[in-house]
Amino acid sequence: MTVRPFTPTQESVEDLERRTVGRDRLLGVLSGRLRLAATTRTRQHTLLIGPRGSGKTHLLQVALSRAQADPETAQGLAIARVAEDAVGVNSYVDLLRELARSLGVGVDRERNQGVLERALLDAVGERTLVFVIENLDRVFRSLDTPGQEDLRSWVETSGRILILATTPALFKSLQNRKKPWFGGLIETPLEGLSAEDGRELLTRIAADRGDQALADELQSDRGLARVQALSQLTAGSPRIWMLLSDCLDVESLDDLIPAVESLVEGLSPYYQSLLWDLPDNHQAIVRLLAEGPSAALTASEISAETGLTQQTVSKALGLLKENRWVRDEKLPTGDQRPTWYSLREPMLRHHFQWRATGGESLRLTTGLLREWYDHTDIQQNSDQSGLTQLLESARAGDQEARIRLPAELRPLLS
Amino acid sequence: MDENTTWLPEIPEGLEPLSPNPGGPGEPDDLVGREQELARLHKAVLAGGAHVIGDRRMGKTWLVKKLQNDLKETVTAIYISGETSSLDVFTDRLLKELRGNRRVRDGIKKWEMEIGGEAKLNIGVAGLTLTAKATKAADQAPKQLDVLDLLVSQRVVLIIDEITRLCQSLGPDDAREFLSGLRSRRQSHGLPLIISGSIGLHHALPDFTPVNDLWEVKVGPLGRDEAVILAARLLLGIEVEPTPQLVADIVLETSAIPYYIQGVVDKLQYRKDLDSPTIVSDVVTECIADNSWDTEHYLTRLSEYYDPKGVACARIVLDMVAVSEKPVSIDALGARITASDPDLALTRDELLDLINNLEKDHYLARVGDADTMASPLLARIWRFHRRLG
Repeated sequence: MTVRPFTPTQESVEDLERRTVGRDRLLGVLSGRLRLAATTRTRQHTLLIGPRGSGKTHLLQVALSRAQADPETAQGLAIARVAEDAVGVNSYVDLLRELARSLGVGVDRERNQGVLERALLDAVGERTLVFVIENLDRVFRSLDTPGQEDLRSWVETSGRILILATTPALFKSLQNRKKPWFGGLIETPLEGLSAEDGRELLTRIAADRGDQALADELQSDRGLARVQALSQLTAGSPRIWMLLSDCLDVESLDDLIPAVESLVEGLSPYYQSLLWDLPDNHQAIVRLLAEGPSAALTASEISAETGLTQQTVSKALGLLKENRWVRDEKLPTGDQRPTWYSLREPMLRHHFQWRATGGESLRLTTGLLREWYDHTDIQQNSDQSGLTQLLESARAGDQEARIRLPAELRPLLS
Repeated sequence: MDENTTWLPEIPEGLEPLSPNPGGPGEPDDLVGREQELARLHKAVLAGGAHVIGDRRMGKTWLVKKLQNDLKETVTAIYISGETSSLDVFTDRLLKELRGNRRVRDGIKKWEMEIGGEAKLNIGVAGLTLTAKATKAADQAPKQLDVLDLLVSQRVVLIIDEITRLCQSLGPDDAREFLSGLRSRRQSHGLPLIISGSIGLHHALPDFTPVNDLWEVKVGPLGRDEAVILAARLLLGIEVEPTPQLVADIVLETSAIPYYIQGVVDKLQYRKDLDSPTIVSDVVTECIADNSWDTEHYLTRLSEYYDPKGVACARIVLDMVAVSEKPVSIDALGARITASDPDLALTRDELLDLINNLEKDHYLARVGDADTMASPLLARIWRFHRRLG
């Protein structure tokens, strides 16, 4: 069985179903909303919010397939989809054309908004049109306010459309009361997978591949300890869990370090393509946060290290935070002026360090986590990065050291 | 002891679960409460129409769609949203809705067949007209069909949502002419009109004469009993037991405003600390603090609605009312403005204008001769953002 962590739309629904863990409640909510849309005039427009790799597309595929499998729901819905990687959707008319294409409605070169709207509604008879729009943030940016207004008023006036959308993060068009879609979509967060969910996912994939020894090992106490260590590095991302499944066998699960090294290699092309899309000064900040003296830095430190002005750094950090590259944090008590910024995804930091200096930091981090969850004494490791010293300071109660420590090592403070 | 701290509602038995839907319209028959508003709307239809007023996301669209649904039994109603990017899009959509209405469609078809041309809908001084270039008639000059006559003859009620946006698209003069045309038709022939809008119409229509015969229907917080039912049904919808304490907390913390009740319950379904006695207050505080309900707009929109002196005076007024436990008299507000900055002192007429506008913009609510914030939740929001403690 091939696992496709980057293109779930290319996988069979059966495979996706089998690999769906930790999403029962959310799937129940989505199924309920689709059923109501099919059988009543209730329209619970939904926005799934989750960072890259959080499984939004996977979840949509499964929810839509379950809707299709329920005769009453399937009968009442017509599903039109804007693909995750759709290009050329630059206006409301483009969006309508894309939706028509998805439904197989012939619109040739038609660009009249009213004609396209009518064609879509006419094509589905009495059924409710479900518009599945991935990366709604990008689509709404292309539509701009006039296009968003026209979509909103069409949805309201016709009463026959349900929007089911995804976005990596909330965006301004939905957060401003003056905008047409303010409060118009139910914000539905996608949480990361817990260690328990991750273990279940790895076990199912191992069993599907016929590696019963690994599946059994994952269910053992030692397996749980290793998975708990790994879960700090995946930060809950189902995509990273799935990539990890490719790197594991019984031996590497026990050792952990080879598996994590394979994981960082496997993630390289993905992170590189994401980084290339960033403006230069954003790249410089992300790189510094990955390779800098600590995992969290203040805006002044970033400015001093990169040579960018404070103003540029502040603006860039705002955008990086909005797009979920970085998180910010203040001291829990005391001086509330400084704000520290760090990368949200631990593996992104390790990606940089791996390329720049090899895997010393990754090996050290993985080793510390392994020992911690194994309840064994932490060994004195060779540490050129000062990580263990930071850990000691944080353990001694230094709040700033706690913030500067890589987030994946915080469990070691408990 | 404050009556609210001891209030525990009785939760009726046999309530149907309702799935939270903070932003979208629901099944018309699932509208909870609003019985008074709906009854007034039905009476208003017989008297010429209504102007439905309420802040954004207060549930106006659901209410007028419920009315539209109810009217199916007797007359017929056409609903159209005025929140479009241009007038052309609005007229195109309206024509589609007219064609979709069985009674009106036949009239339009018949006229189009007579003249042999396809119609275009125009909006303006003459109200609503269809024009088409005749191809069959001997005289091939453009022909017109008075749509309002057609609507009157077919006993159609016209519902225009987001009327302020439509008026903004038309511009103040054309908006006045258009609405005047509708008014004269409803007075002479009885064409009922329902208009609704979240942004105060006074921002787009300086002269209210064209609509001042319409009955005002205010859509504000739900009645407490209605809010209890809504909160309890929504809790059942997320499979949480609607205990009297939890329901009371939701109703009080949201000031019985349905959008916030829906929003809070929707967030509760993802919380793991449902047992916490402060869970509802925590959710509301988080939503205000992280601005996920864009409550900051109550501060920022002042400068869009008022001139700089008006903004300064409005802030002083709202600061005072938001911390007061009792309604504040207009004299006290005037005195506070003068005391804060003598240069801002207002005449009584200016002060009355300011207070009236703050009421129309959903900041204040009149209680006798005095004013309170429109809701305790808004008072809390204002205090939070203005750091009034």
